[in-house]
Amino acid sequence: MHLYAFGSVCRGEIDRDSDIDLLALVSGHDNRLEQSKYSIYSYSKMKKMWFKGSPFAWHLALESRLLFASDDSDFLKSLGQPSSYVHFLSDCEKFYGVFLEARSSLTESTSSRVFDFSTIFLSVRNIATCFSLGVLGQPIFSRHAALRMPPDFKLPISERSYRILERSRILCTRSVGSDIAEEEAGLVLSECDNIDHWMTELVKKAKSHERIQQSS
Amino acid sequence: MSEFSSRVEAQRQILKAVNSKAWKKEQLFALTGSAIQRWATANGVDGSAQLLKLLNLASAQIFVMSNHSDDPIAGTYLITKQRVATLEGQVRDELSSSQFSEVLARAE
Repeated sequence: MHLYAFGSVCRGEIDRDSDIDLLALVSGHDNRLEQSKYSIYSYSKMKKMWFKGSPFAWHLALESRLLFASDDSDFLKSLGQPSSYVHFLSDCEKFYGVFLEARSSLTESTSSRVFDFSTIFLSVRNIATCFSLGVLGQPIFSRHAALRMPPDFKLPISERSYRILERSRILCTRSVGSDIAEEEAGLVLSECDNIDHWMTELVKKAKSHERIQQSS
Repeated sequence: MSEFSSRVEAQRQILKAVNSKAWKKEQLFALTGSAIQRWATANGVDGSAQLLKLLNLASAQIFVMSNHSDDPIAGTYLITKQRVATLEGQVRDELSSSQFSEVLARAE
C-alpha cells in the first residue's frame, strides 16, 4: 500500500474550507480504508491513468507527497512523467455536457438543487483545470481554478454566486454548512447564461488548439 | 453519455425520488455517507429504516461505479450500474410504503 497527500495541502493553500486530500494505492480491496477519507485506486488503474496522461495523473505528478509506502518505494515517482495530455477537447466537452445536464435538471425541478449546484461547481472547476493543462500548458489544480485562470479566461460570475456554488459542493461532499436559500438559488440561476457562455468559449478555444496541434 | 455523466445522473435520479417528499427540515443533498446521515438526523428518519439501508447501499454502489469507470464496457461497471438502477426502484417503492405516507409529496 502507498499513501499520498495531494492538492491544496501540498501547495500550502490552507483555509477553513480546505480538507486534506489523501490518495491510497492498493492491490485489492482493503477494508481499513474509509472511502470518504481517501481517493482509492488500484496500482493498475493508476498506471493506466499515467499512460493516458489524465489530468489527475498530472495533478499527482506535480502536487503530491508520499506519506507511507509498505515497500519503502515511491510508486508514483517510479512511473516518471505522465504522458502528454491529449484528451483536453473531449474532457472540456464532457464537463460542458455535465453543466448542461445540471442546468436542465434545475429547470425541470428543485428536487436535486443543491446537488445540481454542486455539479455545476465541479464542472466549472474541472473544465478550468483541463483547459489550463491542455491548452494553456499552465495547469491550475486548485478547486478555484476557474477564478485563477488568466484574465481573458476567468469565470465571469460574481464572487457571491461562486461562493454559493462552492458551498453547495461542500454540502454534498462533507455535509457541512447551511442549506441554500431561495434568494441565493435565484442569484446562481441568473448566472447560468454567463457560465454557459464562458464554457462555450473554452470549448471553442480547445477545438482551435487541437486543430493547430494536429496540423503541426 | 459519458460514464461520469452516467454516475452523476444515477445519483440525481435517486435524490429526485427522495426529495419528491416534503421532508421536515432538509432535502437529501447527495449520496455520500455523511450527507445521508445529515438528512436522516435532520428529518428524524429512524436509523434502522429500510430506506436508509437502501440509500447507503446505493452510495456504496456508486463508489464502485467510480472505481471501474475507466472501463465502462467491463462487466463490473455494467452490473453495478444495473444494481444502482434496481436500488432506485426499491427506494421509490419504499417511499410509497405506509411508513412514509405521512410525509407529503412536494409541490413543485
